[in-house]
Amino acid sequence: MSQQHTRLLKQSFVISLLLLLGSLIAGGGYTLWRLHSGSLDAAAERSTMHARSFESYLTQNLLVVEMLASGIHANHTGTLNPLSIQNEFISVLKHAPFLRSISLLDQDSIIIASSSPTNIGLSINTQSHIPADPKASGLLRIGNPWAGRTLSKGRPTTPQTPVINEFQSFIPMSYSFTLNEQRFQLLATLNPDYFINHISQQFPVTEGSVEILRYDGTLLLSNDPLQQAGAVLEFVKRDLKPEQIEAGQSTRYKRHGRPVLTAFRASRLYPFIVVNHLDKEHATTNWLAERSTLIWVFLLMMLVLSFVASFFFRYQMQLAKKLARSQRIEEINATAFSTSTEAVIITDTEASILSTNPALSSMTGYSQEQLIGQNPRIFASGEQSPQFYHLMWQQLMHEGVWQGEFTNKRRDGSHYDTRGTVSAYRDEEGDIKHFIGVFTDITEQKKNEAQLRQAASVFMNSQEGILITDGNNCIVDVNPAFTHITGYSFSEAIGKSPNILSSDRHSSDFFKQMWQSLSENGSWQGEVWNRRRSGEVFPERLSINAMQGEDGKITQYVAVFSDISRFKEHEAALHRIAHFDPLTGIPNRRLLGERLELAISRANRSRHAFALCYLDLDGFKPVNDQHGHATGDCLLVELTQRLLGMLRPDDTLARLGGDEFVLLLTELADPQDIHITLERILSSISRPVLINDKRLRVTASVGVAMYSNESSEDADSLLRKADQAMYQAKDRGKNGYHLYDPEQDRMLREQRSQLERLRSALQQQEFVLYFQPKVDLRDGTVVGAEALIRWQHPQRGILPPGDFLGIINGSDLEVDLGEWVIETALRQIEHWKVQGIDLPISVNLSADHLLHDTFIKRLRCLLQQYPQVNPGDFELEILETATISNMDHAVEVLTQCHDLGVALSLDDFGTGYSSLTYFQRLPVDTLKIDQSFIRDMLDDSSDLGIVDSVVRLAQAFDRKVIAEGVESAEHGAALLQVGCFLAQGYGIARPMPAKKLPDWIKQWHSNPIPALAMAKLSHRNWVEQFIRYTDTPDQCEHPNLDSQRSDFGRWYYGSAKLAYQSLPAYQQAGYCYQQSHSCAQSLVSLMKQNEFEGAAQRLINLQQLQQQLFDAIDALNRP
Amino acid sequence: MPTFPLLLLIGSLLFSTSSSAETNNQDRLVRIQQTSLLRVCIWPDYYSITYRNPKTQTLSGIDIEMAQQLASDLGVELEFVDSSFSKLVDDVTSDRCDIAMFGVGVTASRQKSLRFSSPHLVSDIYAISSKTNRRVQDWSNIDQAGTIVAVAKGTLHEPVMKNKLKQAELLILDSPFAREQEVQSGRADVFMTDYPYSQRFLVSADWARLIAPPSEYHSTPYAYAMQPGDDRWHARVEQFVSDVKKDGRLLRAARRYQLDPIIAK
Repeated sequence: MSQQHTRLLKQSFVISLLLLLGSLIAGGGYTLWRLHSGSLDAAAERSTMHARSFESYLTQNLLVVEMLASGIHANHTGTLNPLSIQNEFISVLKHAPFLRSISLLDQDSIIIASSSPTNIGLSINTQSHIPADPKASGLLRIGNPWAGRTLSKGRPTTPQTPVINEFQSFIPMSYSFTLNEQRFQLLATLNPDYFINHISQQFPVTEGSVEILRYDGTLLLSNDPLQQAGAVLEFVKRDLKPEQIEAGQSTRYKRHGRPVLTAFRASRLYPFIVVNHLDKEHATTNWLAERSTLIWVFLLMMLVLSFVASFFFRYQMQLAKKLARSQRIEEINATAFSTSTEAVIITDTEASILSTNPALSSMTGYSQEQLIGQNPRIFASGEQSPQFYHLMWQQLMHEGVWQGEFTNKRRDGSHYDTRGTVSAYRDEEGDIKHFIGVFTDITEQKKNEAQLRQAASVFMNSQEGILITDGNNCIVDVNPAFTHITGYSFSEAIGKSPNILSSDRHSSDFFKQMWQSLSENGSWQGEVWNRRRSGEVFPERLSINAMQGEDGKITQYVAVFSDISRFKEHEAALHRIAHFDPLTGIPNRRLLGERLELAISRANRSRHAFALCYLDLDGFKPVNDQHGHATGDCLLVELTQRLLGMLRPDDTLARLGGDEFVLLLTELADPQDIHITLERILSSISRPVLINDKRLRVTASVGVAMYSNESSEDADSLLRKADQAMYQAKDRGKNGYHLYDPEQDRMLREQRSQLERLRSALQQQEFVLYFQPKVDLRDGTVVGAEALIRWQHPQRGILPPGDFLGIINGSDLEVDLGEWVIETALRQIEHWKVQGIDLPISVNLSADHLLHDTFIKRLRCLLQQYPQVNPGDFELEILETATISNMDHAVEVLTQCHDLGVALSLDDFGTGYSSLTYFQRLPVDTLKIDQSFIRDMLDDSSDLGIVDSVVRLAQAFDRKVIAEGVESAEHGAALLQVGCFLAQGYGIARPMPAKKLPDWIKQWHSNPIPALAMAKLSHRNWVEQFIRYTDTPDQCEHPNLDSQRSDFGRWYYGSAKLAYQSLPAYQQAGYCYQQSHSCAQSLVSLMKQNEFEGAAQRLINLQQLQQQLFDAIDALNRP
Repeated sequence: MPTFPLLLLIGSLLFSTSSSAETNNQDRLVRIQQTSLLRVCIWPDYYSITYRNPKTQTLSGIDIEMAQQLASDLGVELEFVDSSFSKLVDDVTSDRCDIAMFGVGVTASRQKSLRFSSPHLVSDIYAISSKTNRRVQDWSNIDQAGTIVAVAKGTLHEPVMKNKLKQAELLILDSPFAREQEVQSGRADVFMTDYPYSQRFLVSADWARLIAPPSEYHSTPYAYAMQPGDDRWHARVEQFVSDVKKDGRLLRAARRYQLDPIIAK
């Protein structure tokens, strides 16, 4: 029922009720009005009735008076006896309480007899009595009332003097009669109280007032005590006109201000009128009572009516609602039937389908039209036995309902599972009318159940512990594996928090992170240490998934875990193997790397430096070699223990392998402390170790790399630096430590890059050999040449060996380059030999190369490659420094070289320390005096002494001797004097490319005397210095200007003066030489004055003078 | 009736000697039990005391019931003998009855010829006026100048009022109804009477109005009268009076006739 309908119904009801109530009110109002009017009518009627009654009563009594009078008149026909009359009067009064007294008046109106003797003799005036009695007979006349009890004590009233203060009054009445021709009057005084009592009994003063008046309006009596008897009420004559109208009613008057219903009636015999004033309000008193009763009754009726109507209305509304509800329920039922997801099928008793709903169609594939009239048998899949259907029908018929499951067939032939209820619908007689089947497709459910069974099976049989908690982290289920792993039974775990497994090994941050991951990602995986019921702590691999409800709130947590204790043990073992040295048990290189990374990050945080110490034992290899590896291992273990004993807990000692250790000293508050620590370490290692009664002693070399957070280096570079520093320490003599020096490192790196460059230069064939001739000073014979390596640098040009040999010293390249030199020299010998130049060539051999394992083998191989070369033409110059490390080995190699026929010489002899013992053993052919002695021997006699000693030593050991660094003819002369005949040097020839050597040889041979040639060479060198000076005065000093102390000067004023003093050419040469110096001085001074043109001219002069000088010297050779 | 006691008084004076002599020697109680009859004198016009309804002739009143109780107590039959105040002394002394039971006022003059039991009622004097009377509204208006008070001659009220009134005029009337007539006609203002009579009168005369004294004016005890002398009988009657007072029979009967205000203690 719609709200609008309801509202409409309510409105109709309210309007109807209001109309009904309105009618009731109108009816009630009308009734009240009628009652009011009726009650007024009744009051008027009563008033009239009272008036008639009172009039009648009074008239009757007056009639009694009249009869009394007439009786007296009749009884006393004779003479009047006053006493008997008086007795008669008294006896009459006994029965007439309305009379106060009776008197008889004579014709003079004097009382002659009276019931009250005190009245006798009184004169009473009856003239004013009405009606007038002109005949004086047979009329009862009414006089004005008297105030008082008796005639004797009372007074007649007038309209002006009515009864006011007196307690009593009476009304005189006269009756005239004539007896014996005498006129008498009977005077009866009427007792008003008698009538007032009578009236009051009928008509209480509260109800109204009754007035009895004479026709002239004189009030005779009234029950109203306020009315004054004797007064004249004007309205009687004015309105009532009693003479004409006998009776009537009026509502125009008021008494004491209150409206009254007035009824009046005139006596039918006597001249008085009864006026009855009925109080209108009093008259309606009953009506008022009735009115309130009626109003209450009506109100009650209205209330009851309203209540009943409301009740009825509500009842009707409820009925309507019920109807609407039942309609709605029918609609809902219809909707439910058609929209239900459950299939509904209704058949008749013959199982013929009457109705189906859409859900059945969607379940079976049959349309509703196809199903109507069919037997449900069409769904039979054949999977149920006939017995099944038999039992079903049996149950259905007996119990009226069957529940169960089918496997049915769809229209397309596919099968589906369904569960349902078939009920028999019976009519009121209990006869089956329909069968109703309600079915649900449970195919999916069946599948789900199977899946659930599988899941349950997995849950139960899983080897992994499974724990399920609700959203409040309260355990709701665990599987047997859980119990197996943790030791907690199902009942012990249920309802508890997973905290029962807590091992307290994890920080609160760990769990915070876990919960954060669960809330953000819905899952967490990781390893957790938990505690079994037995208290044992074990590691587990745990995977937690948060299960969310449909509203997105987390309803469950599923934790799956496996005990990984054994895995962990295995892992730990692997970790040990992977990270620890098996011999000493200390961290290996890998773990060191991790610790180092850790230390770096910690240092970056704490800003504390740490030291990485690379420790290599000195002399460990001999221990191994001499005492065996077992002893070596024992030694390593012992040393490891010593080192561990000195370290702080945070420090790390690692073994990289062999005798290499690394110490990681962290948290160094003061980096200077490292020195103390290192000293202690070195001292500790160098203490002897007793193994198998053997006293062993090794030392260590330590390289230290400091790390501070400013360094920002990685672990590898730090380790490399320490390694490098360790080598430095080794180089410095072992049993020491060296702190890594960044500058040194830079150089080393540069060296390495240069080495690489050199290696590539070797491959690119950028090296060439220059050759410096060696001559015999005695006859100028060229005895050989020293092959000197030059680097034909693509950008920098020809570089001398001093620029790069230092780099390759000690490197592999040293050997390679050495071999290249040997081979190139051999090839050059062979080449020149082809050209007809038979010139022995010497090459410089580094000590490392010489001591290299493969040296002899390679040398032999090379010599075999150049068979035309006579090994005697090939000479190896051994640097003295090379002999230091392993002289025995050197001796051995050199001997083998000697055996090959290769000539050997000791280069730079005299510069280094050399044991005479070794010298003796060395199979060298030639000693080469170092050029430093030669250069200064002209000025320094000690050098000359050394040269002399060396020459003598060579002569003593039958070795050849050659001087290098011979720069002038004077040097040559000096050498000849000490007996050293072989020489090489700038004074003879600068090193030169191989192709220039043949030309030089030709030119050299044109000067038979080497001294003259050397003199000219000296002077030419001097002039050339000026040429360079003139070109670039900023870069070089001007040459020597002292003519006496120049190379040429020394020769000219020395050995030349002795040999050629007498020749004119000598004088000529002296002149030219002096001129040249003058010119040179002039040139220098001009240059200093920036007179470049003059200087240039002087240079030309100088060159002209050089030619003149050389001409003079040549002349010396032509005596 | 106030008139009768006076007459009875006169009568009793006349007959007392002979009657008492005749009956003195007899034991009345024995005789009553021997004859199994109790004779009780009543005044059948005494409303509420001993009243015979003229229409049904049935007797009612407190003393009718008391007489029945007495007969019952004695275990004898009961016989009522009509009497009046005027005949009281004569009837009792001449053995017309064994006892007079009709609210006999105990006055000094009656005690001279009769022997009274203990009083069972006590009545004061009451005034009856006309409803319309404006002069007399309450008791205090009675003894005022101009007021006329009527009493019946021979009643106990006559000497009492004669003695009491100072200002008002006392009107002594012969006939029993005269005083009522005087008041109704306005010739007198009030008449005086006792409690049981006034009760009865007010019911029958609708014009009448009762004026009760504000406090005790002149109470008179009412009792049962017997011949003087017979002590046993007197004692038995005294016993009866005492019994009915104690066991509540008197009170219950008085309530039935609205006389409980004047029960004697």
